[in-house]
Amino acid sequence: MSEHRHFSDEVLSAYIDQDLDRERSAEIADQLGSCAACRAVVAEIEAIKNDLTDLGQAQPQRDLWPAIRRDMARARETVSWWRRFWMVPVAAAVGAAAAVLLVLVFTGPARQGSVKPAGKLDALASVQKAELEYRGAIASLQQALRSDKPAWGPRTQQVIEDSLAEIDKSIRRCHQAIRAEPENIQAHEMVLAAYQQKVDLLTELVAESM
Amino acid sequence: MNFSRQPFWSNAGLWGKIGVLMPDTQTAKLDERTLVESSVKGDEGAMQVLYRRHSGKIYGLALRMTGSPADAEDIVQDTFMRAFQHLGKFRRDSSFSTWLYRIAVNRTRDWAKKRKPTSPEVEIAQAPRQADAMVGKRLEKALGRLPFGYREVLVLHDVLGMRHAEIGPALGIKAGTSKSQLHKARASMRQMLTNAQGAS
Repeated sequence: MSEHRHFSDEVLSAYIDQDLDRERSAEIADQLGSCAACRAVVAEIEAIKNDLTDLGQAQPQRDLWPAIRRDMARARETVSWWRRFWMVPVAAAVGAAAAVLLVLVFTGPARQGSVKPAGKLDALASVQKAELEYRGAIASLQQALRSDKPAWGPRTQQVIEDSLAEIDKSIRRCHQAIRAEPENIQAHEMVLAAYQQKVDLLTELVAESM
Repeated sequence: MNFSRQPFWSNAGLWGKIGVLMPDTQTAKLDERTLVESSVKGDEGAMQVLYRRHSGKIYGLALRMTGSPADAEDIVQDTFMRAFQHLGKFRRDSSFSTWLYRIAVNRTRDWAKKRKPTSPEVEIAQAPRQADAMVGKRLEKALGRLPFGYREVLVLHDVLGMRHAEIGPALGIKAGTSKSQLHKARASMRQMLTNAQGAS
């Protein structure tokens, strides 16, 4: 008498869905012809499948559309509030810094001697003020992110951390350049651009976390 | 006069606004791509048509995954809000529904992470038709005991009728993995149901 072999539930489930190749399917069909136990398993799996299909499409007990609309409007307001929150003081400070830096650009390195030391000091003070505003905005945005505790996946989290680290690296490099050459206008412009980039990214993350 | 051959109902800007007043048989004709494009431009009527078209299945998924109608409603709300907020990021390499399922699946995963660890199994809410049937009760209890990954595939395939080619992108897995998870899930279900029958 040949040894009787039963197929596993997983194989029989794949047979039901016709996920097996022709040879394997034929082998199982043969087996089902002679094995009541395997036939019973197939019948049970088919019953489970049918019962699950019967669970069918459910409907929410209430219309959720008004709540979705309201949430979207609220999110738009919050984002615009955040943008206003950091934009007004930062934009004012950055505008002042840019104006002073522009004057230095036009006076140019060749004519640096003609720029009064007081003018350079004003430029540096303006940039420092803009930096302070940016740092304040960044701290507020980071605080908002911490309080919302968004549940990003590990890969997304990694991308976010890498991007922020990259921006911080740019800021550090600009500061190094400024320390070595305090009148380096490009370095001043670049540090402000890097801060702007960080604020933009954080604002987007805050919006995403809502 | 030069008449366009494009069907008049494909104008989501117009039908996005009117379509919400139409029965499902009419809104079903609206072209999904046009609805998505109108929604990106902020057409709330088009968004509403997309919501009406997909909310049932998204709710079905959330309900079978959480077992709680209230949590399922929160997930539906959150899913659509995020989808419409970030519709600009939707790449057309998959269908809108696959992208939407992916968001919903991520929401249910977040829900599972935040859930108190004291409740190892989810009491799956019953469909009214099966409320009185013992078999339905056992089935839903077994579904709630399945590992989360198995349950995702089983609900998407057997309950919601999705194909593996759609489930793969929605869950971020290969179609082959989806098949293998499904067969393992059904095997676990049968095992649990057999044990439950033996115990009763």
